[in-house]
Amino acid sequence: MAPPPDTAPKAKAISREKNREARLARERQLSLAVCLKRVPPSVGALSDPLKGYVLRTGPGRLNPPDAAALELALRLKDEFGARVDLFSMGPSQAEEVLREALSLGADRAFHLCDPLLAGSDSLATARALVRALDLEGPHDLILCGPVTTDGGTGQVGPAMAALMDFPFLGRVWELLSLEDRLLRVRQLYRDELLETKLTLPCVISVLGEKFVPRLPSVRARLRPRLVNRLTLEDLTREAPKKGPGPKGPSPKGPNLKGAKLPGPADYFGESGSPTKILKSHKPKGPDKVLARPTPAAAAQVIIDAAKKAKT
Amino acid sequence: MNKVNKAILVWLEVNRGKLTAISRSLARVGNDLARQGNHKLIGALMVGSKTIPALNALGGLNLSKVYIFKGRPKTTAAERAAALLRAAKLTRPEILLVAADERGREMAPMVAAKLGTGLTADCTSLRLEKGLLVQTRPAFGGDLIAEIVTPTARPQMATVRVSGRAPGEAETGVVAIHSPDEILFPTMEIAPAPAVMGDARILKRTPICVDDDLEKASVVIACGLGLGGPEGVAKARILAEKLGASLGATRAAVDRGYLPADRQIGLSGREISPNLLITLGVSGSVQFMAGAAGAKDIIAVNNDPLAPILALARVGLILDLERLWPELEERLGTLT
Repeated sequence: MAPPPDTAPKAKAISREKNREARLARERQLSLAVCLKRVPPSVGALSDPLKGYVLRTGPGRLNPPDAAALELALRLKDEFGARVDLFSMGPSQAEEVLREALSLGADRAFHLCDPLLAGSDSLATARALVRALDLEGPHDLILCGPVTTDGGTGQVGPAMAALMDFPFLGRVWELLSLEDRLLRVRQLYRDELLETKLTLPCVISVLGEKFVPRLPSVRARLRPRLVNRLTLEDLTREAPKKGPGPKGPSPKGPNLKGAKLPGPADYFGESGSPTKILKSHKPKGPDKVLARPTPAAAAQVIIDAAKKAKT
Repeated sequence: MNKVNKAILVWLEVNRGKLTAISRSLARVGNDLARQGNHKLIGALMVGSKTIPALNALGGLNLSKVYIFKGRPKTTAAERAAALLRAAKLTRPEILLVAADERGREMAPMVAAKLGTGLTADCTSLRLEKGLLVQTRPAFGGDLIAEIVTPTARPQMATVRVSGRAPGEAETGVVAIHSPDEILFPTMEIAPAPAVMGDARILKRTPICVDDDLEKASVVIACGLGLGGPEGVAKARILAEKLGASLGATRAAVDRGYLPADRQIGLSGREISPNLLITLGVSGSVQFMAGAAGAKDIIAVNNDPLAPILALARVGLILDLERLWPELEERLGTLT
């Protein structure tokens, strides 16, 4: 049976129009990067008795504040068809966190995993992440959580922004609009709410209240969840990409005339971390846990302490 | 930075023409270190174009010099970071301190990354040992205490948890001179704000009317889910009044409507640094402790022996609140 005479050309026209739209969308497509960290589940984490840093090979989960950054990225993907790349640095166990995030709808995952990266402080961590972003980018918007529940410095995001010469917007509470690469957000501070605008690219940290994480979708769960592993060698092998992409710090570091050229060991991992842990210890325990105090004794302890603290 | 000067640089914040209480506390921390190590204390601050900081506010801090950067009325974190970076390059200090408040924690890492130096977050104490700055900081919401040094990179940078309680003297405009060699009025150098990357602009700022009573309080009572309901919260409120304490809450208690959201202590709430924190029915999650780790002393009441707060507190009272109320009432009068 012949098709009605006018539908075929019309369908063609529609499909042409769709192709054009798809192409335009691709050109406009945002490229997002979300930085995630696997952290020990809660208090009671173990630290290396010799080096002092937190052991990362025990049980773990996604750093809860990072989930908001991922959720905001996925919402932008839903709305604008953005590509969402995930980056995480940590031991092999961190791959699980990346797989979970992929199952929520992210597109690509990169796992910075190398014993040589262990013991990185916040600057060495930021340097490694920036190198990975540089290799896999460019990205228009880099999202992270405001702080982790383990180290809790909140320094990696702003440090990455400084290394890339991108502006940093902290404590993003709400995304107001994103049009023609112009981003408008609300930032929540203790004493004020800021409405800020800027042109992408930039790095932001995201607060959780408005970005409650979604559950994994069945479709996304079925997709292959490939995690790309990047070693220190991968990070330092290639020269930074040419072009309009973000420029990472050169692995060779700053131009030091006459000085011995520093290698990767001077920039990444424990040896490249400017801070060193002298020692770490559990705070001395409660000096008098009144396991089952009499209510009277407890009341007196509270009142006496409050009186003392007021003076 | 190859050559460093025997100086400590502190970043100061001005709010409505006045030096903030946190900045005065930070200058005091810097001053203590400067005396120990015979350093010069140098300040840097940024003011909106129309504000001129009161000289009085800078007096008595023992600053030998202060860099004043003239910015726009609404300065962004990047602008403040650029100003501090400029001051650091001008002074080449051995030590650079920034307050560990929300703004300081954003700008300090940018400056440290640009200088390629180490930065220790949220230091609760600082001391000099063989010329090195030993920085003590809690991690895991206080479950782990680490001492950190920056052996070779300079400056040695730290964000410092300082109290929002005003040290006092400068607030009234009266300048106290502690010793004859103290410098009353520092040399001032006024400079335009350095350019920053990007075009970030603050379009609007809406002040949030929160009392800073929680931040300033010497005693805070934190309400947790263990209070069991509105009756428990009402008792905690009256207890707070009787003890002269401020009342805060955990995220979970706020979610249940026990207290309004602006009373929330924690990662996404407020940060407190009282002399004493009394927690009632608070389990002590890492997120809560992120806001409470500045408390100098914690007394925790919880009927669950496994609640993490009992291990973090100096005094952990494993007790039912229902049994505690009558005893408190006997001593303080009725709590209803």
